[in-house]
Amino acid sequence: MQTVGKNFDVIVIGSGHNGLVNACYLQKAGLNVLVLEKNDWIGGAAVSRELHPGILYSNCSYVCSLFRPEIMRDLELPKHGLQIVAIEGGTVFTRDGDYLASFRNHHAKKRELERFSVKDSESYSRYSRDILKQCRFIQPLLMRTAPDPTSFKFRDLSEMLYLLRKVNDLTASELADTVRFWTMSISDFLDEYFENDVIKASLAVSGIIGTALGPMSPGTAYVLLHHYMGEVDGSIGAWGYARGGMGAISKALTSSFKAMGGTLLNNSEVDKVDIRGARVKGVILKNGDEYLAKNVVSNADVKRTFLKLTDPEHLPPNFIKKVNNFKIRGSSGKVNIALDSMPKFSGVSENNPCLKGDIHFTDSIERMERAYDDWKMGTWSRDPFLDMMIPTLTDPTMAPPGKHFMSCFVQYCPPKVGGKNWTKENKDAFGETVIQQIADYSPGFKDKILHMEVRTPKELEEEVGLTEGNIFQGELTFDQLLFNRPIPGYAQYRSPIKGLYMCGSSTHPGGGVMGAPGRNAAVEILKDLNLPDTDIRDAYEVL
Amino acid sequence: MKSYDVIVIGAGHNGLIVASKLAASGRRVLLLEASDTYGGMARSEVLFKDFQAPELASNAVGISKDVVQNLGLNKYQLLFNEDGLKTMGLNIENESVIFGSNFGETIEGIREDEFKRWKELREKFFNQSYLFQRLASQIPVGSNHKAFGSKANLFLTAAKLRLQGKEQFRELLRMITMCIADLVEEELETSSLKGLISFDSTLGIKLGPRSPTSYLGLLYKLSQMKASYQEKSLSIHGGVTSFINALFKSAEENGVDFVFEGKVSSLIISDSVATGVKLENGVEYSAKTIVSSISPVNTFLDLVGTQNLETDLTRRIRALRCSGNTSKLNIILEDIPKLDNAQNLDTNHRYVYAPSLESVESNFNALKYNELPPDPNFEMYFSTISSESSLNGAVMASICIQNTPYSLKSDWKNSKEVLMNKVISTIQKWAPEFKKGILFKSLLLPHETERKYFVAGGHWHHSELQIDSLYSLRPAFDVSDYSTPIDGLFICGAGTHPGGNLFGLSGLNAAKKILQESS
Repeated sequence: MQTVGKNFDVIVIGSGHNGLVNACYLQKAGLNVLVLEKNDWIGGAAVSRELHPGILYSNCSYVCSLFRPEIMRDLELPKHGLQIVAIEGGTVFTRDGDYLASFRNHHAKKRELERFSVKDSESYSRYSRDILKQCRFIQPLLMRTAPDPTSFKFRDLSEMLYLLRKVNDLTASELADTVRFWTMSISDFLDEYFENDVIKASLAVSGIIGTALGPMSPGTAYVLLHHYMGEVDGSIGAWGYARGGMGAISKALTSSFKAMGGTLLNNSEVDKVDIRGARVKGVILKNGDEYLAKNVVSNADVKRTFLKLTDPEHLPPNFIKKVNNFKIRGSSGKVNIALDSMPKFSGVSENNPCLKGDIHFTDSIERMERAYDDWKMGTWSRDPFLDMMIPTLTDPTMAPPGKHFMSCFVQYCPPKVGGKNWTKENKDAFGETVIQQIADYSPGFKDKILHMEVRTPKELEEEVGLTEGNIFQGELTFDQLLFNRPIPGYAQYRSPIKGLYMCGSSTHPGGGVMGAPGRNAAVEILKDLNLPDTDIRDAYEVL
Repeated sequence: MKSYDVIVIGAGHNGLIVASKLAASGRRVLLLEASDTYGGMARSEVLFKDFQAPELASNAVGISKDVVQNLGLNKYQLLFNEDGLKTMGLNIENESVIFGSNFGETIEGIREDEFKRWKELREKFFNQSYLFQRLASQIPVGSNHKAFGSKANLFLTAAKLRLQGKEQFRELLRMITMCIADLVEEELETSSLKGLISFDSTLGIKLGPRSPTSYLGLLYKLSQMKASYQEKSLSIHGGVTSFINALFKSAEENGVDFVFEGKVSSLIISDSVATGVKLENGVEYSAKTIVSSISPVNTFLDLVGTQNLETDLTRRIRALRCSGNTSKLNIILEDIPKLDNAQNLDTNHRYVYAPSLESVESNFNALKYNELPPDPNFEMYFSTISSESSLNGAVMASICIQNTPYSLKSDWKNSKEVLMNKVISTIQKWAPEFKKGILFKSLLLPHETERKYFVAGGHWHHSELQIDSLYSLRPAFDVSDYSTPIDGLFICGAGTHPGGNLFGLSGLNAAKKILQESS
């Protein structure tokens, strides 16, 4: 083992977007930061990779909305090349050959809803208003460290007071609505507004993406909120493409980090965090090199951080048990496709803006729920739910003219098939299930495929390092949110070991390409080091 | 028009409690009941020949101690079980577990280390059930801002739970919204034990063991157990009837007037003030206070009428999830059936068929799509028929079948027999003589319960007992403190906090509220 290079103040393990955000803020505060990435490429699950000549793949995360605008401004990401383009619309194809389109324009959307149900179209305004209210309530909470409700420390009590005041700002019946919203299933919640199954299915999508729950499971209304609380161009709930693929976010962050003088090393897989006498000393790489630093921040999920990167002897057994009990469930897969030309969908003209957004083929809640039932039985869904996008219709920088990149997010896909590891046959069959579903709605689709990449939770875990391939680094159920995320008592980015921190999506406020965990962790680290956090702007008050 | 101080609608247990309590305070009370006798869903029916028993509510778990003491019911000879009720998991393939009384104080048939883990888990469950137990006897914080006492109680409850210890409080905050499957899988291995706990957590609720918040179902049950006579539950042999009779006698002695076969068709409301009721037969009664113990859906949509309500409340009430999901199978047998190992079935046991967590989950899957459960889970009690009936010596099996859809995708006509046979053949596998001894059987489905007992949806708890419909959210925020936007109208049925089974606290709390309001 040899000690390499100079001492660093902080080492960040993993160059996912949260790791990079965290590193940027710490570097900006004057610390000397080193980021270590195991892969050849930078960005964790926010990457653009040229997997087929000339075509860039956003092969993990594929859309952007949650990324906090405060962070973009603090780190000057637009200056470093980041540009988010809002998505125009979306569509659900129905089994009877029709489709339900959605558009960014509220009135256009309402008119389209009217085709399916006049009553639902009217309810839609009420629905949007209610969701927006909940978004406004939660947004400021994203950029704050959750208080420990069991603690009597001044900061926890005052933070609790802040929450109570916020709660007090609501009228009693608004509070009742909030409680219901946070606990209901998306299916029950939508039943209170809508009657048409296609409309309900199109809206339920955000309630299940990334979770190991079906639309009828309580708590999925919150997951919907999690997908709505972002913004593009100040429009809350809107989603966008990062120009150049999702890797553009990592690229801009890297550029910002390097401009501030940070060091970033790829092909440097960390084997263990070096701990001596309950204090962090540095990290040891797989190749035996050691880097020294008094503070180590792990961007990896909580299981990987404490069950693989840390020796159990340094951790209290009760803590290890709780880490083991943290629910990280692989529930989704990804099929990435390079296309020779734009596929045709029956009934929709090629330049309809609704094709520029998310395309779904699941036209009823029941079909989604049945897809989930298959997953519960330990297999991939026979009739899966697809969240399909063709970003190249909006962003010409990802593929040559006429050619397209298509991203299919697939749910549900288990980490193991019937309790056994994925085999090549399984993987092919899974890919075929997905392709067949698209081909059912788009004749001749299969002939347009130039190249295809099938990713099950197994590949996501092996490549990106996400346990079970869970995109949120841990289920977004209430027992794992706020002060419970990831582990009660350790929800403030610290760990039982002095100098070891967490900054991944396993921590509050959770997954999605948001950057908030990385930022919040930086605030806590600076606090511990007695450094001012003046460069970190607070969430602007929305209320 | 005859005039009273108070009119109570519905003579179910909650209606009887309110009537008796208010009459005891010196008010002149009239109790109106649509059927020809008292008891609501716990009333006795002639089931077969001259044999009478409650058709629906046959087991008497969780009758609140407060109710019994407050109304002095002990003087009316309540029938208690001498010993606690044991639960036996029916398991055809594997060894069965026997779950001791008091929710598994002892367990036969599992390894020692497993029992040790269970003991710790059980202790957590009971510690946490304190939350509900405390809140159950309180009037919820409602839209009425005078509810200082309730708010203070909420705060005190949180403080008391915090005082149980930091670690325990953290566990409570983590566990409370979890699914029961995760909790038992974190600690236990025995498949039949996990099945049993899953069943108990989800019976009567439209959730599967893997649905988040299904643990609340268990907490709710345990808190009821703790608030009732946990050691000596009311007897399964006539215990329910003894309770209902006691309530009736108490109401009668306090001077309540009864009108049977007096189905209310509407309330008389002018300017948002309820002044009386109108029966279907045209008779009208007037009163300053009207208390409805029937379901919130029936109360607001049928009796009050949407023309008298604000749209928001109408919408909330319409959105109540009140489709029943449990059916009741009553079977009368010649003799107590024998097990395949020649042992007699025990009349002091509860038998549960829920061999594994997966079994409960897969039956719940079918319920979601309004399909028949493939291999239905159920609980079963046996009681000997007493000498008063000509069936003397025969045995009644009361069976609650979980995950029975309210409306079936295919229709119920042919499926009713299928469901019945599924259950019977499961029992048959394990008690081979069972089928032979059947003298009589009848199955009551949720939509039949709806018609027969005048409960919208046929739900035993009037509406789902889930996290978004408890405490201040039950049945809807604006009416959660038993008062309603209609002056003079109160609600007190199982659809209000805390609701559920034969608990009776909904009635008692509502009575308290009415007495408070007028003082």
